[in-house]
Amino acid sequence: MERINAFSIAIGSANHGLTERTLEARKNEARRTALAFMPSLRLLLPSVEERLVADGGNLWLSFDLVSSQQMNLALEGASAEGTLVETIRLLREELVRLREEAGEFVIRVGRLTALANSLPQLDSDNRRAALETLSDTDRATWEMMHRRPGRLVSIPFTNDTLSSQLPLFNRYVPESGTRSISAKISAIHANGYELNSIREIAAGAEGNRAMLPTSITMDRPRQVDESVRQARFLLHVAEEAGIRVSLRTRVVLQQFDLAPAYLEFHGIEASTELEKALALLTRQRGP
Amino acid sequence: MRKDHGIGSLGAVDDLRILLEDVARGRIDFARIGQSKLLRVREVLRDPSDARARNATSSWLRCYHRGYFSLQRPAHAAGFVDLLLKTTVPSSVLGIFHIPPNDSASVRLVDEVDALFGQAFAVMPLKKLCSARGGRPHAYLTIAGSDFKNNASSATLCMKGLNALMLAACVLSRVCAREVSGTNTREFVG
Repeated sequence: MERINAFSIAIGSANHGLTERTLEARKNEARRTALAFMPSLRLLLPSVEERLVADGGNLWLSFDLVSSQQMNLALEGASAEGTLVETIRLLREELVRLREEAGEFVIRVGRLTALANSLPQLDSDNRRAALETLSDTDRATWEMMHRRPGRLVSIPFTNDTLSSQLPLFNRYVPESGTRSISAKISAIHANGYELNSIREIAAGAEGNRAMLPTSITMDRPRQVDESVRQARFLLHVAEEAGIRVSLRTRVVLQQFDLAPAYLEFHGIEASTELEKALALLTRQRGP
Repeated sequence: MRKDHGIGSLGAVDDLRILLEDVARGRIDFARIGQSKLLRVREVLRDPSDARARNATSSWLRCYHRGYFSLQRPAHAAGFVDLLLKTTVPSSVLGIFHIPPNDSASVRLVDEVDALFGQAFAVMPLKKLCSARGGRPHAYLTIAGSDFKNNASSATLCMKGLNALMLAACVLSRVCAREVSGTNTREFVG
C-alpha cells in the first residue's frame, strides 16, 4: 500500500502535550478545517489516513493519501513496478487537485465576507434565501468563518503553506421591526433577563420570520435612557410578582444560521395586574 | 571563424542573463530591481525562511505569465497578495486590469478578483478595463510607483523589476530549501 503525505494541521503544543479529551476535540476541529478547505476530501475518506506528528514544537494531525488496499491484478503488460509508478502518479494528481481546491478557500471567504456585510441591509426573506441557496462547499466555509472569526488558519502542504485570515464581523444581525410577545421573567442577571413561556402576540408585516423558542435571554445593557430604565424597572416587579407581561422586543439573530440569539427590550405594556404589584411593592410601610 | 557567445563561454551571471534574455524577452530586468516601489517587498523577501516569502514566491511562479502578474486564477495570487499585506503596500498603488465582464466566465473572474482583494484590503484597488489580447491574461495586477491612476503610464506600472526580484527570491528559496534538506539528510545518515 503506497502513501504520500498530503498536508498537516497544527493541533497544539508538543512540549506541554494534550489531554485525551482535548486531543480528540482538536483532532475533530482539524478534520472540520480540512473539510472546509477541501470539501471533496469527504469523498476520499477511505483513502485518507491520519498520523499524529510532533514537529517544530507543535503537534500536527498529518493527513496521508494512501492507495487502495485492493490487491492489484498482475495483468498482462502491467509490471509490479509500472503499477507502483501509476499508483503514485494517481495519488500525486489527487494531491494537486486537493491543493487547488484548498486554494479556492480564500476566494470563498472573500465572497462570503461580502455576503455577511450585505445581510443587515436585506429583509428577512432575502436573508434567509441568501443563506439557503449557499452550496454545501460555501456552507462549510461559512460555518468555519463563524466558528473561528479573526483567526489565521494555515495548512502546510508539501511545497507551500496555505493561509487564510478569517474575517472579524458581527456575529449577530437584528431583525427589521419589533415583535410583541408575552412572557414570564424567570430570572434577572447583570447582563440579561431570562424569559420563558414566550408567546408571540402579533406577527409583524414580515411573514417568514424566525420562530421564537419558548425560552430566551433579553439583553440588559447598562447604558440606557432614563425612560427605558423606568420601564425596565417594571420587569423587576413582574419577576418578583411572577406576572406574565406583554413586551415589545426586537429579535437579534445569529448571523450563522439566522436563528434567534437574544432579544432587545423596546417597551412593556402597562397592565392592571402589574400596577397592583408595583403599588404593593412600593407601598410605604408604617412604623 | 564564428564567434561563440553562447552559454558556457562567459561567466555564470552572464550565462544566466543570456538565458533570461532569451526566455523572458526582456520581461525580467535585474537592472530595475532597485526601484523604490519594490523597497518594502525586498525587505520581506530578504529572509527566504519566512513562510510568507516562500508562499509569495510560489504564488508568483504560478501567476507569472509573459511578464504579467496574471489574475486569471485569483486563488493562485493569494500568497503574493498576502506578501503585499505584510509589506503594508497601500492598495492605492495597486491596479487591476481586466477584460469587460461580458460573459459568465469573465463575470466570475471579476467576482473572484473582488473577493480576493476585497478580503485583503480595506479599500479595493482601482480597476481598469483592458481589451482581450493574445498573450495577455484576462486579468492582471500591476504595482505603480505612486498612486495608481486611470491614465498611469506604462513606465510607472512596469513589472520587470518585480519579476526579477521574485525570480531571485525563488532561486534563493530553492537553494536554501536544498541546503536544509541536505543538512537533514547528512544528519540522518550520521
